[in-house]
Amino acid sequence: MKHSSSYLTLIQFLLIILTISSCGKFAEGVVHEIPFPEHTPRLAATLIVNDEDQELVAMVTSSASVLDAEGPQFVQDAIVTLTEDNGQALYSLTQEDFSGEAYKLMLEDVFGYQEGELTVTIDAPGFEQITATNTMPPKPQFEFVFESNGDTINSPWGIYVQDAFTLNIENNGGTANHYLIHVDALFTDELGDTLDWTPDYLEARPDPRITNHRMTGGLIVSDESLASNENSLSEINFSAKSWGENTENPPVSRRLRVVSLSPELANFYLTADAHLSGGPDFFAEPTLIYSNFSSGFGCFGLSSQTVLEID
Amino acid sequence: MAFIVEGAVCAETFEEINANTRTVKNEDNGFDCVIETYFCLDLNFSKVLFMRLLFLCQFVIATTLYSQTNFTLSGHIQDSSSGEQLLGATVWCEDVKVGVAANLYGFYSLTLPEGKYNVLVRYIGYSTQKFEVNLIENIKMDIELVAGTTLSEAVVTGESFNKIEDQVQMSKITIPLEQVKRLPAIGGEVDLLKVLQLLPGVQSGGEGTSGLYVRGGSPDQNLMLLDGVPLYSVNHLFGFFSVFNADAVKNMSITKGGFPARYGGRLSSIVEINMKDGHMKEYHGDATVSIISSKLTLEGPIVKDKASFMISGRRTYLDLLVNPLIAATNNNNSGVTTDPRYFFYDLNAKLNWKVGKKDRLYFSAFQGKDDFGIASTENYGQSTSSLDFGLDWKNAIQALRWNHEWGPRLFSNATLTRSLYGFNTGVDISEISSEGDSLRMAALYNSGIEDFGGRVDFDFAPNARHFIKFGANWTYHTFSPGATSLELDFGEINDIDTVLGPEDITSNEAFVYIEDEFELGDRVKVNLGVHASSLAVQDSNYYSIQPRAALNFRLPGGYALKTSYAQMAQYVNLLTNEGLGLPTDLWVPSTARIRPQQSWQVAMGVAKTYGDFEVSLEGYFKSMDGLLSYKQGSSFLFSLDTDWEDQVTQGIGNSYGIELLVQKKLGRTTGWVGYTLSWSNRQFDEINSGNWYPFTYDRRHDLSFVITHDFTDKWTGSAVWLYGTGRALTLNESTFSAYIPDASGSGIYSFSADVPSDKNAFRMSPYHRLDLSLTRTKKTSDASKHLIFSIYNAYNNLNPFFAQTDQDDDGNPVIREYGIFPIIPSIAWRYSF
Repeated sequence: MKHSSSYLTLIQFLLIILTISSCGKFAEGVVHEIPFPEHTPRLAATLIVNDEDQELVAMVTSSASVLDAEGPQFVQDAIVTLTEDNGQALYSLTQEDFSGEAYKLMLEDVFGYQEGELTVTIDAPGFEQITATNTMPPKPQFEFVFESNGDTINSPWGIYVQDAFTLNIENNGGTANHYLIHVDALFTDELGDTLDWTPDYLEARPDPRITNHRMTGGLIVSDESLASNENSLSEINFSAKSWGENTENPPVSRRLRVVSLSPELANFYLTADAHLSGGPDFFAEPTLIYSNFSSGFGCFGLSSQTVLEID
Repeated sequence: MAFIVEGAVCAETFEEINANTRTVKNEDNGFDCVIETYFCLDLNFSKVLFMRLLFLCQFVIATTLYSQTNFTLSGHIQDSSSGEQLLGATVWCEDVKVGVAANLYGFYSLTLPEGKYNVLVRYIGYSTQKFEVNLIENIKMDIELVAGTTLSEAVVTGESFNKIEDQVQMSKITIPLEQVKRLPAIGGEVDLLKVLQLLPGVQSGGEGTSGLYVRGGSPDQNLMLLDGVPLYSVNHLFGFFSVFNADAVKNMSITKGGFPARYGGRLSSIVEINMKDGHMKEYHGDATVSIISSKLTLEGPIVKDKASFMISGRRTYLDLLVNPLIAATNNNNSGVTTDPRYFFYDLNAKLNWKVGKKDRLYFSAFQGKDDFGIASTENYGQSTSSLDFGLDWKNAIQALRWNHEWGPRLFSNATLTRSLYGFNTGVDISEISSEGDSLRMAALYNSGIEDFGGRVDFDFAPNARHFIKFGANWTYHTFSPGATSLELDFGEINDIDTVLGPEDITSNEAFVYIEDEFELGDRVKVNLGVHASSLAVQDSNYYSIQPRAALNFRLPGGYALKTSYAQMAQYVNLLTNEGLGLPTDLWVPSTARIRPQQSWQVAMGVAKTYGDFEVSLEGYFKSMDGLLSYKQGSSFLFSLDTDWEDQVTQGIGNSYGIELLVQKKLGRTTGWVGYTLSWSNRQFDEINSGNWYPFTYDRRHDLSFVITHDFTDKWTGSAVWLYGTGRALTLNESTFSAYIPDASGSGIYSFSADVPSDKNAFRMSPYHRLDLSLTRTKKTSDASKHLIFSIYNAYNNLNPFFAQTDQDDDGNPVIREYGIFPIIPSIAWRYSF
């Protein structure tokens, strides 16, 4: 019993000491900093080429640590070289082509459909050379059914025209196919003059083949899990909403753009969209944007497209 | 075929079993007939499996039952004062050195050859009973044990049985409830799951949370059974408390591996928590008031020694304390009113009725709910706008149980169950102008799961060296994996009133099992069994046959070498964003697209009792397949146009480690020391570029000291200290710039993107904390009062809770981790009568 009383006294003493000594931590705050490893800057590049492009655009930056207040910097003295699979250089972009935030090179004609594998190599002083390869996918073959709604629709967010499409894309057979679908509308102004093509906002019912691509407002259609089925890309249903500036009149014309994406480019589109357009989803883990460059940053992607106008 | 049919009803009476099996034995071709019949029948998988198990059962009965003239001593073991059944109490026959343990319902059955025997009956915390029995016929004997007033006064005499080195079962830990109630508790509210987190091989999800991560498994891989009914959400207050009210609980245990065949449906652990049956003789109660909640438990006889009840309720009153302050603030600003709310409650109830000498009925029920929200109204004369945000979740279970003694050696338990979990969150925003025009937008997201089930279990003890369990279970699940109701009312413009999201999914899950625990010579005990399960969902069927084996080999010096192997399958999955422990967790089934989770686990260890200390050292390796996770960038906030199955990915995992537990359950000083050295890894094709990565709760070192000491009859103290390696986490590491062609295809859309590190490449700071508690007890002739002082996090170590990018004093970005639980003293008062 005597020992127990001593224990109790000792405990009370310890409790007082603990309480007093720990109060100081409130003043120090609740923060620990997580030590970060040093980041070695690497080249990050983006070069996306469509067979109908009339201009080549390449963006080259240096990667930066998230703790670097200045962030990534544009690299203006790089040499971007595009070569065919036989090693012959197709185009080269240099410091002279740098404008604003990217290297831009106007072509004499459209880039055109290229057979075989293309390689891009990027050299810049002070950085390790990076490369990536890609193959242009076949031009899309498709047919579609267009159901015009005709009337404008009032909504709390404005007035729009909504039309329905059913798209049947030919399966290239065997391998997975990826397509980016856009619909553009042509409106006239108050004087009756035609304006520029305006991209519609596309929506689709839940379909495992279709992903809304929020960065572009288009739809990415993929038959990755169904590639062996020859009808894997038929009966693709979606609607297109046209939000013209002059909403009193429906669009005078529509056009359907179907862009065939290489698998690498499709992956880049999807992961970039998840990374940037998913909104501030506090609950989600950070997403890694796909890269096929040797540095792990950026993408070299090829695509081909077919455009059909609807009168 | 006839044999099979007879076998199916073999449980009618022991005599009938006797008759059936004699018949088989006397027929030369009896077994051949069964086998031929079985293989010729064109039956589906389940029927074949069921018949195979029945055949195995008959075989075991036939080969063990009739070797000599045996008689059986059987009955129930219960507390002498309350009539509570004492599960795990042991009946030990000194003369032949064999014994049995009472089952979950206090029933025991010890079969021995004819003769006189000295029998010891003992249970921790109770005086041991010793008596002589002359076994010349079957004897039914209900035994009442007298409780010591405290664990320290428990009388231990005679040769003990069922020590840790005697048990075949490994990786199972039981903690006496009286010990649990004396441990320090945050806010004075004892939490059973937080006590389990202090055991080796069991980790918490984070500071203050109730989630269990057992041997590298996920929380959904724990089967939480409250009176045998699965509970899907065990969290109150966003995980800071569990739903288990210690005052209503009789016992709890956790099994982390070496699963006997009777267990199934989850990969990582079985947590069994049983409610008190209710005092059979007198009315008793417990009232506790703490700074967070109050609770009241009442129990007593409905008909003395025949039927009893137990009811226990608990409610927090943070809202009642805070609301007057909020109201006072609102009075200062007549245009704005704010009305926050948060409370949780739970209610446990149990009825217990001895229908006859051989039958007993139980009805158990539990209901709990959390309600969190805020409502505000702003009135500026021109218009009135209001916002109401709510988030609530609820659990409910009911179980109707029938115990029946078919004979001295055969006991059955049949149960009908219902389990419900629901989660809702929503927001309702409206504005009414002075002209009466109104705008309203309301969205409600809800998900949940509801089960109806039936289960039957048999315990059969043909002789003292075999203990057979077999049974079957069926569950009908209805999953509601997240639907959103939208109501938009914009006056004259188009109104919207619709429900978006996936439809309910139903499934039928079933299993059958058989296991036999038997001895091979003097040194080897074995538990062999098989668990076979099936799932029917969306026109798909999954089957799984899971062998189970455990072996205890007695080494010289009183050591026991134990090893076990268990395969498990799991047909329900919890979609959760790791680390948040929010009730937004979504229960989804295995479907035609989502394959079931499966695992196998092998464990080996050594166990021995040194005086009052039980010591066990175990190593394990667990391999898992079909693990489910959100894809990177996805969460429960699905796009309304996306199916949840498109947001998830499946992968594999493994975990391995060593666990040491030194536990003392008796004496003035009790407690345990637990240490775990472990690794846990995951691999998903669509996460971390397909590379293996450490599981978020991969924790290299985990150490806990738990001690309780009775200083005097009045004063009891306890302390808990724990240490754990910091949680793994993924952080954005670097950034770069890129572009994609814009919507028109003629321009570019440039952006900066963060690049995350390899998955879980970073670690938070190690976790360590000391909790202290001191209890003063004052006893009167018919009641006792307890004043409980607790200090959570006594030396105020601010353990990391989350991390985020921040700026230092010079404006440079830094990654900081924040703690939210400082030192928290509390006081509680308890009155027992």
